[in-house]
Amino acid sequence: MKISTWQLFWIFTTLEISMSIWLTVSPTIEIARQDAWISLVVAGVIGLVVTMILIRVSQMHASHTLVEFTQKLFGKWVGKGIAMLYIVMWFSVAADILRIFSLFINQFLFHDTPVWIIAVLMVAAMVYINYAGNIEAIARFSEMAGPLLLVGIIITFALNITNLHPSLLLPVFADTGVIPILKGSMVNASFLGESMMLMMLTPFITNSKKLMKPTLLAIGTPSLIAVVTAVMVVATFGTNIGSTLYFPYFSMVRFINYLEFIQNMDVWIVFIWIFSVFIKLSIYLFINSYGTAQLLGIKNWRAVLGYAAAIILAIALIPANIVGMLDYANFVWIKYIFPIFIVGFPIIFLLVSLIRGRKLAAS
Amino acid sequence: MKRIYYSILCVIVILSVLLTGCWDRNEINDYAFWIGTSLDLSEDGQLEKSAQIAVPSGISSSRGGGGGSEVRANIVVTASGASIVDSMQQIQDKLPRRIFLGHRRSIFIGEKMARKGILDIMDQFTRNTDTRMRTDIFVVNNGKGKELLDINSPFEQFSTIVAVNQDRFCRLGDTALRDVLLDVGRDGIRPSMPMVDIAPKNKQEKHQIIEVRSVAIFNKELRMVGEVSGRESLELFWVKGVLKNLYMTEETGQGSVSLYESNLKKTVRTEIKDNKLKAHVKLMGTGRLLENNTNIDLSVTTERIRLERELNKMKAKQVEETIKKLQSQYGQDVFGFGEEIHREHPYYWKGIRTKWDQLFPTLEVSVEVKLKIQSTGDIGKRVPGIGDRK
Repeated sequence: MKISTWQLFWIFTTLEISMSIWLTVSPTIEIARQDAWISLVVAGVIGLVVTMILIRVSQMHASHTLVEFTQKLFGKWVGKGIAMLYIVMWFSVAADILRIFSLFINQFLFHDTPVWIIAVLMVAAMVYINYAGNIEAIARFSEMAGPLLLVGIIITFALNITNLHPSLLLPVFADTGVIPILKGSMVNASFLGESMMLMMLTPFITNSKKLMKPTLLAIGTPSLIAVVTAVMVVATFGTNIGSTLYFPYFSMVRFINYLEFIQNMDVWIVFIWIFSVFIKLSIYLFINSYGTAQLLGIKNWRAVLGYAAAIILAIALIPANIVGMLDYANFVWIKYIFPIFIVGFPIIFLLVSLIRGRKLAAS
Repeated sequence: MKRIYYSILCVIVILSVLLTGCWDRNEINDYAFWIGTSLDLSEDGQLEKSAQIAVPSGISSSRGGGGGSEVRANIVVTASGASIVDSMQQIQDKLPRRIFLGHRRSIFIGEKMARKGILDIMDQFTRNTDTRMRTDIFVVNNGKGKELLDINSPFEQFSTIVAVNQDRFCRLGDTALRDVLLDVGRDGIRPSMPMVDIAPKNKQEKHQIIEVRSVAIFNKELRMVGEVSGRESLELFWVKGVLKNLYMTEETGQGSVSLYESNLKKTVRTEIKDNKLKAHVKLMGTGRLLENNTNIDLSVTTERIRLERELNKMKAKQVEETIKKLQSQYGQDVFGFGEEIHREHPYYWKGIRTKWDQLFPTLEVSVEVKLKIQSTGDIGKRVPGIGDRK
């Protein structure tokens, strides 16, 4: 079970892009109006800084996963407690994404198909790729799906140019000001913080010394795509429609009509985009099963796989509708998970590791 | 061995679950393609909705028949209800196939409905996941939307598509709904929408020809307050910045000159001088001479420049008059001057944002036109003997 650093780049790029074109643009426009793109630039910078901390932490414990190194740093019980919090959080994220994904497919493509069918099919694929391959299979799959997704998105951007009204992006800054722009940037910054899963993945990376460049690039590329998406959405639909649409990028792709015969491209884009959500969910399933196995002291992590998948599926099917699911992003992810799990804990890890490291060196 | 049996059993169970029920299986034969919608106000104040629905057998027979205009390729179904979707159910009840909204090309609103206000019916167009935002939208001048759907055009199977194509050649094209929605809810611009005319000018045109030559003006509450037509409507869209090309004919005093202007552009500069708002509009374009009924020899540069200057002055005066007329008659800023002020003086705009409707009629607008005659067509001088006015 070893992946290269560039495979890691493709995994992160694909799973972050799936978020930045899907869930982050609309809430950002709602807060930062036509300056959403500035917000997203700021978000990218925040994401890079946060990821830099995460990489430092991971590199210090390159041969251990989060579950192991927290025990090393804080002792057995405190360490296990922290690790358990992380894993519970990752379960909730995976379930949330699975549910929004199923609802989205239900709304966009299959109106009459029950949501649970879509969710079950996705979970079956997730279990298969983890069982038959493991993280290597996910990495190879993202090497294939990632470039496809990038090319698809760039094509839609190019075809949408004729629909743009650049004047809708003006006036810059005057309508919003510093506070809304910073507030708006929290949305995407927190989503980019998903790179924290790196702390679980370092033992599987062949050359973890050279992690910095590919990982930062894997945060930079999706940020750039998010910025362009925001510019495009605002210039196509304005801030009023752009902020009220749940999935403005897909509505924008739907709006493309080039030379009368390139139209209804949304089906293709959704098709490719499903790959990236699949990668994201599979990685989460891997982390959750592997982490749980380590936490409970189970030797074979594959034994946990089925249970983990069942738990994710069960949680995903509880909530009522799409609004409740998007609330998770606004009220749980941005307010609690981002400051605690993505910023707070990693900084503590870093400081404790530095102090402990010095102590160990001294003794 | 046992393992193989288990896995075979597993596959059978999964397949039987997945293959028996396909909830979204839809054959193209089961769909009724909805091409155009019309919305009218019925006698008792309800919403009357008509749908132009494609009839596939009609499409094939009218193609093969060669001028068999007896068969219509579409059917118009009407229902009335409290909301758009309410009447949608009633329309579905009248059809043997399932309604498919994804191919709807245009929406037609009867003038009566438009004057009553269309704020309450707009939500559905962006919310309903079956509809596409790439749709044209028209107000039907002096008529009902249904009348337009009933028209049987010789060019296309669907009068809806004829209207959309006609609109594209002269004004907005099929992004009209988006353009209207963009203007709704912004403070410095009021929505405007193309209009179709179906009143026939002569017998032959009856039930066959539609005209797109006017623009409906809406106020902030999306109530239609007036219309401009012909040259004035083109000038409106030029100043708004959406017009791409136009034909123009000017009487110079010595005869008329006709130009085809393309690459139309506009820039607007605004300034605030002791609390008086001023806007300066600059309109630009490059032209091709199509008709010259004067004795001016346009191959001579000095002559051409003199004519250009004269035309520019005349056009500027016309545009200024159009703007003044709209300011005094309707008082609605369909040009988007408010948004220009918003862009150039964003902090000042915050103070006047809410009172723009009162301020717009007092805005001083000056117009400058810069048209260039880039080519004089196939000939420079006129052919000797044609139309000499000696």
